Amino acid sequence: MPALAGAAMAEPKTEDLPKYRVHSSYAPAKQPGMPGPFPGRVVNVHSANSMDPKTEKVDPAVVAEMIKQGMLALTGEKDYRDAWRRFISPSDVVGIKLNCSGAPKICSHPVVVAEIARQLIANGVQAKNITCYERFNDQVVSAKYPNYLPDGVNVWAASSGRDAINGYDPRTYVEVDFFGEDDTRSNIVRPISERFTKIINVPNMKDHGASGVTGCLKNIAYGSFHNVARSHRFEKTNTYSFIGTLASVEPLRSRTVLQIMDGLKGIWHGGPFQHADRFGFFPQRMMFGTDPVAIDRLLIDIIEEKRKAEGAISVFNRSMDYVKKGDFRKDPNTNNFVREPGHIEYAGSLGLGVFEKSKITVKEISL
Amino acid sequence: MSVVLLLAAALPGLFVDSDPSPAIRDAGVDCVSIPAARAEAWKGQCANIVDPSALTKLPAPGVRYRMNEARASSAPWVDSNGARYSRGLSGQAIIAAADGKAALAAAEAHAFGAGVLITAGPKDWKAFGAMRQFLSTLPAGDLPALANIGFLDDGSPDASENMNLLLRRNLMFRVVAKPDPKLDVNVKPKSGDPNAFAYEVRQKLTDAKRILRLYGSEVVIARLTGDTSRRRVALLNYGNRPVEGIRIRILGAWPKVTAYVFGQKVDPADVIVEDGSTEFSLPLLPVYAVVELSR
Repeated sequence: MPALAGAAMAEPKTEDLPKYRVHSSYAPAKQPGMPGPFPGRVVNVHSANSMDPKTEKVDPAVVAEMIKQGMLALTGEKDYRDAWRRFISPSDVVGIKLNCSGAPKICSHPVVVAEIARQLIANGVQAKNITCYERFNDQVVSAKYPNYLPDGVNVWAASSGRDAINGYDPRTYVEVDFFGEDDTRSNIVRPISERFTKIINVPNMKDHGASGVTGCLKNIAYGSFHNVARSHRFEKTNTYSFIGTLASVEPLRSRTVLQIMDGLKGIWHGGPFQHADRFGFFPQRMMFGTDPVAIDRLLIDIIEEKRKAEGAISVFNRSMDYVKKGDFRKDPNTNNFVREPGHIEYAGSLGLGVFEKSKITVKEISL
Repeated sequence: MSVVLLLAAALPGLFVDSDPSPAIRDAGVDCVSIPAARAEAWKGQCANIVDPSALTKLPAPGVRYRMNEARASSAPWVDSNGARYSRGLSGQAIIAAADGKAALAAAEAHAFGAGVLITAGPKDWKAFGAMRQFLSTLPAGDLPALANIGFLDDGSPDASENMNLLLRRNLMFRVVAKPDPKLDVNVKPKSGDPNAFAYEVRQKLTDAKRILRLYGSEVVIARLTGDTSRRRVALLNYGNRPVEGIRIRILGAWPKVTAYVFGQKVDPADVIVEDGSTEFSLPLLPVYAVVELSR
C-alpha cells in the first residue's frame, strides 16, 4: 500500500462489521469457480493497437488475439480449444456478467463480449444457451450489444426499473440491516441460481467512489444482487465487507469460473461512471484469471498509479476531510464516500483468492 | 397478536360539485353525492345530498419523491391516511383526490375499512369507477385487523407522526388506551424524528416477530386482517407507477394464496411456506391488490 498517515488508512474493525445472514440452499462445488484452479495467477495482455485512445475504436482482430493469448497463458494449454474447455463444456448454460454501470461511456466492450461469445460457440455451447446479463435494462440497452453479438446470443437485464425485483431469486439472498432500512434483503439474479451452469465475469478497470476500485469482485457481487446501493448511502459505507460476502454466496461463487477484465479503457476518478472525459484513460490491456482477488489486487495499483500521475488523492485516503467537500464529479481531490479498497483483502480473507502481492504470479504478454 | 374489529365500510363514494354528465355513468358510477346547491340539476337521478363542510377533510394520498431535499431518510415520502383511519374517524370523511389519485384514495379507504367520499375531476371518474367496481367484486372482507404493537395514542401531533411512520414501515399496530399484555410490544408516543421512533419500535419488536414484511418497494403500505382460518393482505401502491415485483412475508403457514389485483390478472408466484412463515410474490402491483391466504 502507498504510504499514508495511519489514522487515515485504518480499515473497519472486523468486530464492527454488519451481521450478514446468507440464505441459500446451494452447496459449493468441489472446486468453487472463485478462486478456481489458478489462485494467485494473473495473465496481463497488453496491446497498443487494441483501442485507439482518440477515437476509442477497438480492433476486433487484436482483441481476439489478446483473448487467445490470455487464455492460453492462463491455462498453459497449447490448443486454444482446450484452454476454453478447461472451463466450459458444450452442455453448459453460460452467463456473461457484463459491467454496464457506466455505459455507454465505459462498459464491458461489446467487441470483447462478442469475441467471448464466439469462442463459447466455437467450443460447442449453443448460442441460445449464452446470456449476457446485467441488472438494469437501460444501461444494457445503451451499450448496443446485439449489434456485435453472434446470432442467437441473449442479452438480458434483471430489472426494467431500479427497484424491480422480478428478475431475482426469492429463495437466495443475503439479509443485513445496515442503517435501519426496511428492505434488508439482497436477492441473487434469478438465472444465476436457476439457469446458468457457468459464469464468465467481464469487469472493467475502474476507480469507485465507495469501494475504492471496482473490478472483478464488485462487478460479480453488486452486479448479481438486488438492493445493494444501500451499502453506500452514507459517507462511511459497508462496501468493505458486503462485496466479498455477496461474491461468496452459492451458487455464484462456484459457477463463476473465469475472470476476463476488460481494461482497454479505464476510469481513474468518479467511477463507476465517467463524469468527465479527462477521467477516462487507456490501459489497452486485458487481465485473465480465475482468482478475482488477485486481479483486483493488481487493479488497485493500476488505479492508484494513474491517480498519482494525475495528482489526485490516493484511493487509500480515508480522511473525512476530503469527503464531499467539493464536487466529486469534477474534482479528483474529493471523495464521495470513505473509500474501501480494503474490500479486496477482506474478500481474500473469505477464501475468494490471493491478496498478498508476493504470492501473485503475473504473466505479462505484449502484442 | 391482537385483533381490532372494524365496521364493514360501504364502498367509497364519488362527490361531484357539477351538473350530471354521461361520463359519470359511463365510468360505472350509478350514484353520486352532491352539495345541496346541485339538487335541482340532479333531480330524477341517483344523488345523495351531503354538506361537505360537515365531513372530515382528509388529504389526498400519494407520494413525494423529493429528490433534491435533504432529509433523515432517502425513502420517498408517502402521504397516507392510514394512521388517521387507524386512529378512527368520527363520521364520514371527504378527500379531494389529486389528479390521477382517485383510485388510490378509494382503495386506501377500502383497505382500512373507512367510509369516505372522494372528490375527483372528470378525467379521474373512469379510474374511480373501475376501482369501485373492483372493490365490489372482492370477497367479503370484514375481518379483524391484526397487530402486535400497541400504541398509546395521547392525541398529540407527535403521536400522529409516530403512527404515520409505524404505518409507513408496515409495523402493524393498533391504538390502545393502556398497555395490552397480549401484544408483543406497547409503546408511547415520542417526540423527535418519527422515522427513528419507528426504527426503535422495530428493534424492540425484532424483525422475526413482524407479522408482515414487504420486500421490493418503498412506496407500498400493507394492511393485514384475518382470523383463525385465513389472512387477508391489502396492498396499496402509493407510487406513480406499478411496482414490478413485490414480496410479502406473513407469519404463519398459509399455503393457499389467491390474489385479486386491480385492473390486472396477476397470479401469486414463488409461494414458500417454511420456518413458521409464508412468503409469496406479486410480479406486478398496480394501485391496489388484495390477497387472500388460507390453509
